[in-house]
Amino acid sequence: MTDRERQTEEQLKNAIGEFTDQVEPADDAWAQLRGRADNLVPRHSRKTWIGLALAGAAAAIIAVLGFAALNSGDDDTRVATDPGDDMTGFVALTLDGQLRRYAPDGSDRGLIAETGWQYDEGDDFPPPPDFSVSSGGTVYFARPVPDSSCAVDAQLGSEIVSVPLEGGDPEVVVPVGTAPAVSPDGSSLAYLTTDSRQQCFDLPELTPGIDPSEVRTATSPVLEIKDLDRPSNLDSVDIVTAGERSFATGDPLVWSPDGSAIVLNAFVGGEKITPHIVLVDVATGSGRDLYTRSGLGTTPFAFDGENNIFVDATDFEGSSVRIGLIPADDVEQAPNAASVTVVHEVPAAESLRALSTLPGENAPGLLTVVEKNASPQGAGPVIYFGPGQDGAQRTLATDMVDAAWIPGTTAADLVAPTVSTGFVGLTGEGELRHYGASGEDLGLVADTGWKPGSDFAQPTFSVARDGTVYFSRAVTDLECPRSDQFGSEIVSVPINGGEPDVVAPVGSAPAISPDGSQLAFSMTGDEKQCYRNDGGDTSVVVVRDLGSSESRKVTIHPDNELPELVIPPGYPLAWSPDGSEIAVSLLLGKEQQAAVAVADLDNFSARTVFMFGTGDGTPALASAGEKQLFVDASRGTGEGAGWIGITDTDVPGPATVDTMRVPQFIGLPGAQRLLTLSTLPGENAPGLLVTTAPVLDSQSGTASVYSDGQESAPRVVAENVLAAVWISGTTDDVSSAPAPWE
Amino acid sequence: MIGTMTSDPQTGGPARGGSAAVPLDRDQLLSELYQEHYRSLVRLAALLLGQREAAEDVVQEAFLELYRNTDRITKRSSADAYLRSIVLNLARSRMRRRLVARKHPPAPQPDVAGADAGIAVSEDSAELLAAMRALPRRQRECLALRFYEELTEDETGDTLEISRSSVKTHVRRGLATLTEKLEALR
Repeated sequence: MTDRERQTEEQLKNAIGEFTDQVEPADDAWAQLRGRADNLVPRHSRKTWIGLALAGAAAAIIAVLGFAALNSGDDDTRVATDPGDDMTGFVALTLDGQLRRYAPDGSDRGLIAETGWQYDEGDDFPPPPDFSVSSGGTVYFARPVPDSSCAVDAQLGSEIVSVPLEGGDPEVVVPVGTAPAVSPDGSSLAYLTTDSRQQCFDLPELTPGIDPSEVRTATSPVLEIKDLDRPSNLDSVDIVTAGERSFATGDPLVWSPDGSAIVLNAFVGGEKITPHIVLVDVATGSGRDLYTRSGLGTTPFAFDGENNIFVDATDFEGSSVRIGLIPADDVEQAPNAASVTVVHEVPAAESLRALSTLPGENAPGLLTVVEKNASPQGAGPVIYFGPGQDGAQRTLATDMVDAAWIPGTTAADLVAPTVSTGFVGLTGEGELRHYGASGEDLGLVADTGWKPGSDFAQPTFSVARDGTVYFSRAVTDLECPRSDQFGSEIVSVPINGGEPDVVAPVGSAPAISPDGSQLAFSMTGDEKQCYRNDGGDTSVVVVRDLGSSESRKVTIHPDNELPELVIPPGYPLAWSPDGSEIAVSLLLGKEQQAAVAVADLDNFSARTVFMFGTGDGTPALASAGEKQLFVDASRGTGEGAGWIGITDTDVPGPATVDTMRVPQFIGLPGAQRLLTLSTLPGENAPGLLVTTAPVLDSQSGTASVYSDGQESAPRVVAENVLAAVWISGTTDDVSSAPAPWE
Repeated sequence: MIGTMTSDPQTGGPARGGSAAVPLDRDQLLSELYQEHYRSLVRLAALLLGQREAAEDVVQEAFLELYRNTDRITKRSSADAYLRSIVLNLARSRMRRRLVARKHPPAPQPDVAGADAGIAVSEDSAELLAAMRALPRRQRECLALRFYEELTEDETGDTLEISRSSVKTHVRRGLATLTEKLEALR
């Protein structure tokens, strides 16, 4: 210390003495204080926090004096919910500021409450309200208090209210508070309030690297924990501080699974302020840095069932959202975004808005909200990642601001959606993906391991009503006599992803029957395991009863002769709507003429019904109704080459493109060739799902819907799709639903 | 820690060191703490706020806050520390409100530092105290606790929940800034 500073110190001490000596309390100070303490009124006031605090004190005095009746908890704001009610799914905040309840499959279960907040384009203020769902079925959320007289535009009055999941009138729980978080056992509510008990919160507009003194003059929220098991008008609030840390208003609080700690965003002092995730020990109030990340705004985080912590590891330079995992053993090290292990990535997304997990071994995985680049600012899909680090992802809802699990949700609720709609497509990267009826990407089903240009056949697949996806994939570890041979097996996987199960060790071209009870697929005739892309072996069709696992072989003898025929791997099968016949595309005779045969499953007879024009590629085939088939009627490779035709199957003798008896053609736009066709049985069938590709391009495809199967303008529903198959539960008028860009 | 304030003329009450183990009676505690600390806390708040009335209001609020939370106070010493930190918190937010109001003219505030009619100090002292109130929060709090309350660095750190070395730093920085200000005035 310099001499001058020592001098300043002396001067300051003198000035302090001079000043304070003149300060005397008012003469009636004690009377005032005593009176204020005595006149506390035991009733709820939502006007100010002090109102609640004072009311609590008064009620406590009354209880001390023996009026225990007031103690009985009639003021408890928690709402008991019928335990028989279904406590599964999630709660999400819409752009309109509605808290809505959703089933595990994403179907809407109705409004819980209007928060009063609304997305305002181009304006981040006020920030969307936080919410928390208790295991008892109560939703706590912060809502703006419009009548609070905040001095500044950038300040916000906020109260915490509770409402049952079923909806109802919200009740005020904390008159001045934000970021509510119910403890895992439901007994406590943690939230941020202002340290001054004034009603106004400052906006979380703190930016990294600013002068700490600037932060110190902003409102510094206080973390409080309220005991929900005691009547709310009794003293039941703990104040937790965590040293030299400023908590950030409007950011979420998360309890550790055992309820011993609260994790939240905070700003840690020093020369420059940096945002941290800190863990605050509830018992001691001590804080510990867990994680830091550069960049602005909230860093969402969530515990998994084993105390590992999911964090936002998004790199602001990149164009994908990344979710990292800090192992429970590593939390002492306070890693940063660059050093954390990335466990999930969402491409083409801008920022992570929310993470939600459930504690416990049955935790059904991670629920996230990401902001997509093209979405309205602040909203994006709710994405579910299955349990484990490699869990498949599935989109449960779109355009949400925030989402959190309802604590009764278990893994069993999320195994598979009960009814699936939309279609499954094979992408140019060899991924099977689930798409909504309008083409919205609902997530990965499975990676087939195939890529365009691979030696082995393109996978074929079929999707059952319950969401099970059957697909063929190459078995590459077989020892085949020739290098261009490979094995092909049929596996099944839930549409929301998972580890595929082998259904048939040898097989290709799975096709689920219209009633979902039987699976048909093609197989090499002598059960050789090795296929060649061009066939080369006599083939059979196997029909397996999925209930009893019994299989029947249907040997195809077109027209009761035995010409040389092969069913190359990947050549499609199609069931008739009544399940009595299966159409098979195959290569016929020495010339290997591409043809379609129809096998009657009652008497196992088969007849050739159609001869393809070109025999080029893998002929597309689909049922067009009773005794009618959609077939590939392409006639060449030039402009306007691609055609879809309809042929009758109940007329004698095979039709050809030139002699087709039902001249209903659909011309494909431009120089397109037909890749796959898919229809659904039934009158409500949503149209013909078609994938096409440019004639000279084998790596890109487009899925389109022809709404009525007749000549009409196609509606493109997905790009980069080489094959597409309806999910057989899709029956609604999805074909008329507008595409996202319309 | 507040027990160091023996110079307070109102502190001469009966000896009451033995009540630590039993649950504290709310009203008795209020009365005792009032006698012991009210005046010095008003002075501390006034020092930070530059205004006696606001200071008194802050201290009364702090006492009511403590009154409400008596159940959780098990030791007299923790009541003392608790009280002081509430006063600091409330004074801080008063100050903040004033800053906000100053930035936004619709609510003009006449009570700039030193404007309290009842407190007349020399011009030099007034300028110095105004400069102290303009310091960053931690610095002015450390200076007040060290030089008015005469707390040690450890006690100051405990009250503010910061480390002893932080207290040292804040005091040194505060004094350095004040020294610069003084020189600029000369």
